[in-house]
Parts: sequence; structure tokens; C-alpha cells
Amino acid sequence: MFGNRQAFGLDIGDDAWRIVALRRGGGRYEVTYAARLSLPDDPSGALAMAMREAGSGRRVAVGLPASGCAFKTASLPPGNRSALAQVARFEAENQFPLPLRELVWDFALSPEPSGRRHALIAGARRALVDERLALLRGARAVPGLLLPTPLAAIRTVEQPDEPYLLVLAGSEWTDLCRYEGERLRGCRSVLAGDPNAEGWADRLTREIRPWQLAEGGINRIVLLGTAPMDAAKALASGAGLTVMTGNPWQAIRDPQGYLHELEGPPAAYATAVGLAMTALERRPSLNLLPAQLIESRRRERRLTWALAAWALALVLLAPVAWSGHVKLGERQASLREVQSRVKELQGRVDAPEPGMLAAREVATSLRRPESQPLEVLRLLSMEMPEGIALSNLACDRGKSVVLKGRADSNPTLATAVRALNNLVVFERATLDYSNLIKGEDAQAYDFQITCILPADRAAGGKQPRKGLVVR
Amino acid sequence: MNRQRILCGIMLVFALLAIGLAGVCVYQYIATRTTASAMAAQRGTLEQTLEYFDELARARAEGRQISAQVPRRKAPWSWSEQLPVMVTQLSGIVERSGANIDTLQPAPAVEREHLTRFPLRLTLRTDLARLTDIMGSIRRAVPLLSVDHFAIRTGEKTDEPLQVEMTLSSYAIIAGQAAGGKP
Repeated sequence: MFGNRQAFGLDIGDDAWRIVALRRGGGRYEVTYAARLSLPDDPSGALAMAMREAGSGRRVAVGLPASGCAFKTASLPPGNRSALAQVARFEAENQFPLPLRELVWDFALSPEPSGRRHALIAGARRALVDERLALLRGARAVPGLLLPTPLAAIRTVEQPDEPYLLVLAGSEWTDLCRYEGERLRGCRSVLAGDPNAEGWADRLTREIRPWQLAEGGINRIVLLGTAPMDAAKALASGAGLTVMTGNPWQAIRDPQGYLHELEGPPAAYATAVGLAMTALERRPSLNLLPAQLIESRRRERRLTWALAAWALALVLLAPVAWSGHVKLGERQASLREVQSRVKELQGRVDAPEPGMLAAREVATSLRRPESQPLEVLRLLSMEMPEGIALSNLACDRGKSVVLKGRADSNPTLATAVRALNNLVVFERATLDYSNLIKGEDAQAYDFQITCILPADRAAGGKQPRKGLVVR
Repeated sequence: MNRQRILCGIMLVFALLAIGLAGVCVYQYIATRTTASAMAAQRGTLEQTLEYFDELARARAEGRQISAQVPRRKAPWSWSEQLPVMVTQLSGIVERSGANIDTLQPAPAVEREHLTRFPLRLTLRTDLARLTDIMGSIRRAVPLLSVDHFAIRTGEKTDEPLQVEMTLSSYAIIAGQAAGGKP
């Protein structure tokens, strides 16, 4: 329910305020603050001070007295929640004695053994709700939950499966609620006075009698609130039922020792503890906060998440943008540096005399062995195998060397082609033809081989020229 | 409600900032890519310029030698002026080796980058030893002579001389408008 893990439960009783702050961790509750305040003159100030003492967390669950609330129950057919909500509204309109506009109401569903849904519809006077909200606003607290006190108190005790009666004793009003397991069947408040006073148990015994005689009856009483042990015994003997006195602090850790300093019986804190426990739930089943307020809080939560997402995007983007800015700056600086260097060098370019570079290119080209027919001849005479007689040689600089001649056999010719292919001055050598010539006493082969020379731009070839051309 | 308005305001500011930052990041990405390609182009230009400087430096260092190999002529310099120079040079080379030129035939001059090439086709008959001597002399010739085309054909009989056909080119750097053309 709450964003933080601590929740306050505020029980505004007839005799005093009881404030409990709980934290849940590892599946267990831990009390972080507990106090009983005498009825304060400045309620908002007192609440604000208590919250300051408790430390972190401003969200508070407040109890609404059952005497200011109405409870109705209905058995609904199975269905989806929105359809059941319409039925619940219909039931509320029909069953509540006041028009719905004067009430703040909500409903909770729980399964029945028959498969139907048990609906508990609870309503509180709008004036009472507004009064509680004004108290919280005055203390700058955030209203988290408004819940009738019996519904909060019953959370703190183990609930028997058989029908039982919850008796929540206050110093003036005592609430009587009949339960079947977790299902509330009926609830009413009795102005029974202080449980410490004589006659409280007798008055309650008279009030309980009709419940005992009704269909289903009640098998036991769960007593919570400010009633002392003597009153519990008197009630048990008067009603003739087992009376269990609940202890809301069971299974709650108290590392700071608050419980030793609390006044009154432990059961007096059942409502405050139950409120804090319910407030720690992610989705309390019933909440009498006005729908507008709940919707507004939902909107606020969505806004907070959206804000967090944008903030995260900002946090992620900021370093990327900064590093991009730095890198871009560096690259642009080095680009400017290179540009100025190029500009400076190009400004220093002193064009050579016209034709000088072309002449140098020709001179360099002519020094290469493939440009020297004499060198080509020397290599041919060294590499040609025996059995080859050359008759014609035609050499075009930068293009090809064409050899014609006669070979004594095709293997000799193949050796010659292989040897020519291995010469560094040729890119490749290919045999154009080999024709058999039959003589009187021997046979030979007339052949033509074309050897491709590397391209020479100075000789008119297409070799790309490197370097900057300045004309 | 007031708190929601404040939250909305803050969220709007954050959203605008985030969108702005995202825009900046996109701009930076595009600018970085553009800068990188400009940088590559500039580096290429720089490399070419430095290479050109090296080439220029080498050309200047070899300047005197190249000037001797490829003489500079004043425009207009045509085949008519070049032909006597070239024929004298070639006749000297061939006759020194004991051979004789059978035919001479100039081809049209070719001009490129202020350098003019004067091709001359010649034929001669000689033996291999003399031909080797001639080719060696041509290789060492100053002014420069290049062998653009070279063809040898053996005679019908073994004691017949080799029939040699060559296209030799001499070069000249001609200041101003190159003349070229046919002789």
C-alpha cells in the first residue's frame, strides 16, 4: 500500500489515542513506535509530534469507530469485480439508512463455502471521514487508510472457523461483531460504558443473548480493547461462553522495548496494530478513503514513476551527451589541425618546372628491367630450356612480348611457358598456339607465346599515378 | 492537487531536458560521423601532399641528371628540329657498333604534361653481338632513348643476319606550347 515500509496505525479511542508504527521485513512485523496519548487538546499537533518521534514515514491509517459506521452483508453470485461492484452499489443504496452521497463506502469480497461471494459493505458518515482527514492534513500526514475499528482489530488475532463474537471494548462504546471464520455477519455498537466499571459484563451479557439464540448462534467470544481480565471472566460466566482475550503483539518483534512501557492491557492496542498491519498490505480489501482521494493518490503515484523514469533517462543521457561533447570537440580540434596543416603545406607547394615530373617518371620507368629489351633478351636466353629455338621476338613496352619459334616437344614448350611465368618481368605468359610440323627425320612444334608486361604509364599504360598532380 | 501540479511541472522540465539531451546526442552522433569522414578525407589529402612533396624533392635532387637525359627546348620545337638531333645520336650508336640503319620513319610526336615524345621507327640487319652492343648503348644513351617497340626476326638461313625493327623515342621538355605534330 505504502511506498515506504513503515506504516502508522492511529486508534482514536474514547479514553485515549493509541499510535503504533510497524515495519515489515522478512515476513515479520517489527514495532518501530508505540504510544498511548491522553486525549490531546491539539490533535494535529500531537499526531505531528508522535510522527516526528517515530522517524521516517508520513502515511497514517486511521480507525473509524463502529458507532459511526454501518455494516451490511450480502451473498453475491460469482462474477467479475466490476459486475459485483454494481451489485454491491445496489445493495448499499437499498440497505444503508442514509443516501450514499452522505456516506463514504466501500466493499470487500470473500469466498463462501457455497461458491458464492460474501460481500461486506461498510459505510461511514462523510462528516466523520472529513473530520479524520482534516486531522491528518493538520499534522501534515498522508492519509493511507480509513478502516472501521472492528475490521482492523480482528486482524491481530487468530480467527476460529466456528461462529464467534468479537467484543471490542472501549471506555464508552463496545462493538459486537459476529463472525463466521473471516466473514463478518453483523456488527453493532453498544453504549456499555467503561469495562472497568461494575455492571459492564451484565449489560453485555444481555446484549449478547439474542446473538446466542439466533440461527447458528455463537460458540465463543474474542475480547479485544480496554477490558481488564476481571471483566473478561465476568463476561464468560455471564454468557456461559469461552472468552478468549486477544494479544495483538504476538509474533511482533520489539527490538526497542516499547511494549514494556505501554499502559493498559495489550488488547487495547489491537485496533492500532491492526490498522498498521492492514496499511502495510499492498492492496487492503476495504478502505473508506474517498474515491477521489484514492484516485488522486494513484495519479500522483503514476506521476512519480513517470518523473523517476524521466530522471533516469536524464541521468543516463547526461554522461553520454557530455562524453559526446568532449569527443566531438577533440575530433573537431584535430580536424582543424589537419586542415590547417594541409592548407599550410598546400600554400608551400612550389610547382616544379613544367614537364619535370613527367620526365622523371619516364626516366624511372626506363630503369625497370621490363622496359629494357636487352634485359628481356638476357632473361630469355638464360631461362629458355634446351629444345626451344626462337625465330621472332616482338616487344611492346608496357604491353607484351610475343615470342615465336620452334620446340622439339610439347613438354619442352610447357617447361618454357612455366619458366616465362616465373620471370619477374612478366605478369603472366600464355601459349597462343602450338602446331605440329613434320620433317623428314623428326617432328617439331611451331609455337607462339604472349607474355604480358606490367602496365607502364610512361609508355601509355593505365597504371594509376599516386601523389598530388599540380599543373 | 497542488502537489500533482508541482510534480507535473517537474516532470515536464525533466522530459524537455531528456528530449533535448537526446537531440544533442543524435546531433553529436551525426556530427561525429561527419567529422570522421572529413578527417579521413583531410588525412588522405595530407598524405597525398606529403607524397607529392617527397616526389618533388626527389625530382629536384635528380634535377640535373634528368635535365641531361630529357633536354629542355624552347617553343616552338617540332619534329623538324628534333629529327637531326635524334638521327645524329642514333647513327652514332649504330655505326659505332658496325651496323647500318636500313630505314628510318618518324611517327607523330605525343605531348603529355609538357613532355613531348618523338617516336622514330627504324629497321636494320645485324648479328646478335652487334645488336646487343646497340641495345646497351641505347640503354645508356644521353639524351634518353626509350625502346617502345622492338622486334627481331631470324633470317631464312642460319648465316643470314637478324632483321631488327625498333621504335625508339626521344623526349624533350618544351617550354610553353608544345609543338608536336608530324615532321
